Amino acid sequence: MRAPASVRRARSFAIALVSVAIAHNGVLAQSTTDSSRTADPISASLDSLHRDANGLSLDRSSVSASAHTVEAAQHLTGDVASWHGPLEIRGTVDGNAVAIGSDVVLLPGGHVRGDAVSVGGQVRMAGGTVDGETRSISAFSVGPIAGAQLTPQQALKRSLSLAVACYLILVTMALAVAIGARAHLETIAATIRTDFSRAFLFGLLGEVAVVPLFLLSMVALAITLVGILLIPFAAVAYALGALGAVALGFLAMSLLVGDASMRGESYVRDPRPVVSHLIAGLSIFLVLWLLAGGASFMGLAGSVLRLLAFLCTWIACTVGLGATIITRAGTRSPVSMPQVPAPPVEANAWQTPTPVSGVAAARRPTPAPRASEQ
Amino acid sequence: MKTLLLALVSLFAIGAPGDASSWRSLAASRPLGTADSLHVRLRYDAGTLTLGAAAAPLLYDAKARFDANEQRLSRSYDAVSHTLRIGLDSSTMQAAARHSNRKRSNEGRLDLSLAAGIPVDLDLDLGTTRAILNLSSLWVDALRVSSGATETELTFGSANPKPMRDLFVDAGVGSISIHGLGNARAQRATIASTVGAVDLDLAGEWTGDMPLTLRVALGSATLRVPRDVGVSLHLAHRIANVDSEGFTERDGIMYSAGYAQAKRHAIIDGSATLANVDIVWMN
Repeated sequence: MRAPASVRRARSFAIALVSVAIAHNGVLAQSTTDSSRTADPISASLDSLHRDANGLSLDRSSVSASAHTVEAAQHLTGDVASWHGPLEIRGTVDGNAVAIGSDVVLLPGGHVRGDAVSVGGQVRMAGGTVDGETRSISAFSVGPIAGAQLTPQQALKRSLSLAVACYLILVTMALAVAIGARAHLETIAATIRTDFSRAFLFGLLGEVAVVPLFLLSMVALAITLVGILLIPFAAVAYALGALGAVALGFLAMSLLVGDASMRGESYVRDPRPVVSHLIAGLSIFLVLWLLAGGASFMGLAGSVLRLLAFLCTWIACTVGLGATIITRAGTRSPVSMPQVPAPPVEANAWQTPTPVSGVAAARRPTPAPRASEQ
Repeated sequence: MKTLLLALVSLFAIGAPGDASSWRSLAASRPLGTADSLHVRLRYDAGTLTLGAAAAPLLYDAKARFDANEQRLSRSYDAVSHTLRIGLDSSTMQAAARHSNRKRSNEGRLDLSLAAGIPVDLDLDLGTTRAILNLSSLWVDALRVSSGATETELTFGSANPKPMRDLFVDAGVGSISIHGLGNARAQRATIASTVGAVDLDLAGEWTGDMPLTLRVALGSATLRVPRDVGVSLHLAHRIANVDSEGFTERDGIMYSAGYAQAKRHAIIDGSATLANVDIVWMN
């Protein structure tokens, strides 16, 4: 069966969005590489070398931009280093000998009084001696990878992964709720539809009260000796209850969003396809977060998108939570039933066993005539 | 919808942390030179640690493999005090750069070899590690091992050239096995375990008295004692079972049979709480 046009559109849009995000990822990686190339890579490496464990401080002028050899007759009083080329030592180096992106080779007669260090290569002892430490490291362990900040590429990947992970968890929960607690979900959704502002207010109150209520209940338990033992279980139960209420409310809100997005096709159908609508609603929130995550490198625009995504999600959670509270997790109908006026009591009704107005005659049921009688 | 879900699952799988590029390897060694002693301060919070003797001309030889996203390598050597500090720990990492997947850092490894002919003072602070410490042929002057949740195997394969000043092992949660504890020739040994199993083998080339403090809680301790050793037990045991078969009590201290005639003695004190202490005699 072909999916409805709006589902196909939503699917195409989501796939396109994911593709754009991945493409951005690649572009970003490329641009990062380009920008690092434009900077002085030798200086950047020397900075990393300085900040690495037991790091060394080398002067930029001591680095050769390719392979370098300290000849047998040479006696260098300072440091010597090579960049992406082997550093061969036949003479004496009073300082440190460093090769970045290549090997340090200690040949016969070669003598390093300091440390011999290779980053991305090996220190090879081929007859020479090192008084200090011989050190080979595969790559710098400080710098962008271990810094306090994630690189834009890592941040992008992380935010997209997080959004998708949350989405998948919510879809799983949505399926479980749609199967096991559909009526409750519908009740909560109906409450949101009919009384949005009240649900929002209750949600706000619920959010404000969640911590004080928790503390109050823990104190109440702590007062009694037996209750102290229950505190860990109560704390877990409370947290699960609160999270469950928020999740249920958010799913109800997603259902409404899904209803709205599918309007005109299956909205009027009864019963409407709750699962599809739920997933559609959740997908809209996912798209918001993917956009926010994908734009994380866009500076102010990215921040605005993130704020927008956060606000939408927060409002949905708050309203959903409020509706969940109002309906006691969907167990009570929120809509007050219309007051049906009581039938008028007849003044003289008590005086006679039969009503004054009489008893409506009913037609006595008679068997259908047989075919032979017709 | 199915296609969309599949695409998202794939994206999530691709986006999951697991950069092979974050793994680092380090090989560092230093010649013995004029060093006449070595102090090692090691902190290792997750992974596998091995410790042993280095080849002849080296003071130390360290080989490490670690995830730079999870652990920070710190290392320094002070040539004046002959102190090597080496650490692989994640506590200094920024939360933003740390992933929650601890399994990856458990795949890390540190192999440390130390000079054999000079006194070595070892101070090891271990986290969630598997530690194989082979101190055979090393001259260990002092040893302090403090561990969190570990599986520690400590071997003294040969006699310490000189008696060890102090031996202190505090195994928090986990198991610890010490082979040839007698070879340590410790003037004072303390073995403590909070939760887990302790297996002590008192074999080795030692003479005279071996004072040993044993503190075991919530677990078991097995003492493997050579048949010619006299054992005195003075354990404060609370809800604990101490295997004292063949022992005689005198002034609150349990003495093994033939204690007075034995040429060497293991003098064991300490405590056992909710624990089982077994003594196994070895021929």
